[in-house]
This record gives sequence, structure tokens and C-alpha cells, in this order.
Amino acid sequence: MSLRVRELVAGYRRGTVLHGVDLDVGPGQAVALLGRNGAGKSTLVMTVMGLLRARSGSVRVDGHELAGARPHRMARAGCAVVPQGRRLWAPLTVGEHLELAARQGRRRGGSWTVERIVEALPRLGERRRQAAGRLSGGEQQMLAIARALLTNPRLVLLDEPSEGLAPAVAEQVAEVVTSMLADGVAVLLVEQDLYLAFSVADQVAVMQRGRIVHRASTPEFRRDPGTAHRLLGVS
Amino acid sequence: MTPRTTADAAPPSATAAPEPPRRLLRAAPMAATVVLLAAAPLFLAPYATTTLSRILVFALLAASLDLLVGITGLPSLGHAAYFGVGAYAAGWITIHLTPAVPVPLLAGAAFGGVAAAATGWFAVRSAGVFFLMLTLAIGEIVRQVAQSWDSVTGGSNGLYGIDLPSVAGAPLGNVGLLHWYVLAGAVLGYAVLRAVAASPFGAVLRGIRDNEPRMRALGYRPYGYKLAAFVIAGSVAGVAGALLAAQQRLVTPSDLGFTTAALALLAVVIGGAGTLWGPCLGAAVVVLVRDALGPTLDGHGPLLLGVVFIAVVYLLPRGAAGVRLRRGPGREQSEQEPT
Repeated sequence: MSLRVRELVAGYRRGTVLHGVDLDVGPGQAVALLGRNGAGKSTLVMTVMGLLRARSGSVRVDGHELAGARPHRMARAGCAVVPQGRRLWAPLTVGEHLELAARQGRRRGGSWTVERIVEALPRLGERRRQAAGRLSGGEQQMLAIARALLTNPRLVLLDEPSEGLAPAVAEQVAEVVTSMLADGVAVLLVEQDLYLAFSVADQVAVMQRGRIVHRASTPEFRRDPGTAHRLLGVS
Repeated sequence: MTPRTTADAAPPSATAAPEPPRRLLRAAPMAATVVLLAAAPLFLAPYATTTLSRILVFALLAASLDLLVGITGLPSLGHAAYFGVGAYAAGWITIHLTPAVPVPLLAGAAFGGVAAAATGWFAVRSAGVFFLMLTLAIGEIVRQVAQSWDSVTGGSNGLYGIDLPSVAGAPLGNVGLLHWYVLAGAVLGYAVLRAVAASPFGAVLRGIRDNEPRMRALGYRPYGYKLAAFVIAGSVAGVAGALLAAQQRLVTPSDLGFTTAALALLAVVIGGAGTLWGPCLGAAVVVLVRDALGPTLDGHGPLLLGVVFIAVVYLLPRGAAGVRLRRGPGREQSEQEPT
């Protein structure tokens, strides 16, 4: 599935955050969205998913115009989001999370089932009866990813999935993302951890003050530390 | 991670533990309560038994409201409307058609549900204070109708002369039999609410309560689920109304007015929203204070209820049910603006 964003403008009551974003994610492609804090990365994810209303511009999913559509329409079009801070339903159990997502997934059809998720992420199977609010940070992140996958999406937006995770757990996240890509799912990955971003993504897009200011393939971007330093403040 | 254990649950890591014994263990307090309530007429004076029946009726109303307030996150100030519609429907059918037992109960459920569907389809489009105001207005309109539609409702005199419900042609002619009838109806209604709350559908409702945008992002359209919850809650409130008609043998407009709706909401808050059984306890407190203590306080019952309410809000933010559950996880904060 492909995502094509053009001239997207959005923001909050206090002001505009996205000032005309252009971005493409091709079928089966992984694009890492980088940028400093406050550049508008999370706002872009929220707006694409319809959790925030677009003021103007275009969001096309497989050629269908969906700018301003409510999130459930985006979900039914095959998009899923792993939000920053996981946003689980703390009182609901792990099993209920999986079941809620799988009910939508079955409607769409696809290869991800609760059984397959539990096989891939056995920790979730062990904790099936526990309230999501009582999981460790890593387990919560896995559950947030599992919830997105079980809807059998063709495009997944991941917003800082490695935030606050131990390196070993972050690696596990990278493995899951890689297996998504192997399934042909398109991925837009917002990530502060450059090492993780580079290991997963084939394209890099850098955001600054609400615009995409740089695009390159991952190897190109890695060969050009000057640009990375200028845009991200890292060497 | 160290699993924290609650008083009634096995350690969470013990997922291999067989399911049936745990379920039985959890159902045990419920079963014991029902047995105790069923035995009550054998050792209680008739007046006390009547008060207990009244508590059961109100408890079912409060539990049905909890499906909206605590499970779905829709605090309503008009829930007494469906209680009253059920009561009038059951009373009218008992007088004019038949007092044979399942009929008035089914009438209460049907009319309560239809009334909830007729008003819910636009009410559940709103949320928060707007929902509160809309349901308040709906409740007042329904009360006005009950007051002015003399030929059916008996106007402000109420609908009186409702026959005792009868089983196999024999009327339930004493306080104990009537109590068992009310108990059976209340247990039935409560079981329906419990089953709904525990079903996958109930999980959707709780997801909507805790984070509606997140449910949308999974592909759920909350409107239909909210409306269904509203209709189920209205229908069970209608059953409670039918029990009221049988127990009180009189239905008046005040039974579906604002006071009743507010007291039901009070019972939910006192007892602990979202637990279903907590609001039943809250209902007991409300009825006892209003009916049993009220007269001895020179009509200052409402004042005492107000004090109880303030005390609960300050001391037990999650209601009586929260005392045991205090160590549970907090709800997720609402969607925040990311940067």
C-alpha cells in the first residue's frame, strides 16, 4: 500500500504545526522520519491517521483521497498507528486488547491472528489476563505494536516505538518492524534512535519546522554526516 | 516485574492455573449474596422485607445506569425516564391485559428499550456536559408526558390499582413471595448487565470510555456501540420499572423525575462506577437513608444523603467498591497533544 501526502497543513488551536508537508511511502517501503523535538513528526502521524483534522492538503492512500477522514475510516482503509506513549487502555487486559484489535483484523482479512502474535511475542501470551497498565514498558510497547498488527494493516505509522526501552527490547522492536516489512507492509517510522532507524528503513526523511527538508536513501544519508549533523544536531 | 496480587486473584504469573476454580471463587460472594437475599423474608419483619425489595429495584436501576456511566463513560441524568416508562408500561399491561408473570417484565424491558432507542439515537451523539444536559431534558419531557397524559398514566395521581403479579394464575399474595419475584427479576437483569460488561462488546465499551480516538484508530465506529449500550441500559431500567410497578402497585410521575435520576446517579458514585455491584451497594445506602432514616430525621434525609455524597467523593474517590480495588491501575490520561 502506498501513502502520498501533499501540501499537508495542520495544527492545534495555539497554532499551525505542519506548514505543507510532502511525503511518499511506497508499497513495502520503510521510511524513517527524523527531526528534532518539536519539528512536527508526531503531529504528522496524528494528522495522517485522522486523529487531528487536516486544515488543507491531501492524504492519499492507494490513490484514495482521505484527508480529513475520521480515524476509523483510515483504519478501515488499512492504516494502523502505534502511538507515542503507547496509549493502551490501562484497565483492560492484554487479552482484551488483542481481541479488540483482532475483531477488526478479521473483518479485513489477513495473516495476523491472536495465535500468531502470541507465538511471535510469547510474553504477551503469558500476561494475557493482566491489565495493560501493569505491564512493563517493553511489554506495553509490544502490546501497542501487536494491537496495530492485529488489524492486519497495509500501512503502519510507528511513533517513537523505542522510546524509554532498554537496548535489548528496542532491538526486539526492530525485529518486529522488519518482519512487518517482509510481509509487504509499508512503514513510516518516527524514531530518535538513529541506529534503530537506519537498521530498519530504506529511506530517510528529515523534518524541520513543519516541513520535510531533506530526503535520501539510508545509505546515502549515512555517507553524509555533515547533513545529519546540520539537521539533527548529531554527528 | 514483580506481580502484584489483589486479595481475590491468584498471582497473575500463574496463567496456567485452571480456569473453572477461579471462576467459581469469583462467583461465590455473588451466590452467597443471592442466597442471603432469598432467605431474608424468613427472618425479617414484613416492613423490612418490603424495604429490601425496594432496595433491589433501585439497585437494578443503579446497575443499569452504571453500564452507561461506569462502563461506557456516559453519565446520564435522565435514566429514570426509561425506568418510569417500563414501570408505566408494566403497570398498564398488568391492569388492562394480564398480571401473568413474565408478561409485565417483558413489557418493561421492551418499552424501556424502545424509549431508549427513540431518544438515544441523538443523545449519544453528544458527550460530557452536553450529554448530561440532553438526558436531563429528555427525562423532564418524559415526566411531563406522564403527568399530562391522564387517560393512560392517571396524570399526577399516578397509575394505581396495579394487580399483584401472578404465577400460574395465583397472585403473589404476601410480602415474601413478592420479594422473591423482585429478587428473581433483579438477579436476571443484573446477570444480563454482567454478561454484557464481560463480553467482547463490553470490552469495546470500556475502550470507548478510556480512549475513544484510540478505538476509532483501530477501526471502531463508537456511535453504534454507544447506542447499543444506551438501549440495553434503558431496557434493563425498564425491567427495574416493571419490578417497581409490581412491588409498589402504584406508579407516579415522580418515579421517573429528576430526583429519581439524580439519586440513581448518586448511588452509582457512592458505590463505585464501573463495577456494577458497587452501585447496588450505593442503592442500598440511598434507599435506606431516604426511606428508613429519612422520616426520623424530620425530612432531612436528602441533607444526610448530600453529606454522604460529599464524604464519599472526598474519602473514597472510587466509591465503596474502590476500597478493595484501590491498588488497581489508573485509567489512561486522555489523548495529549504531541509536539
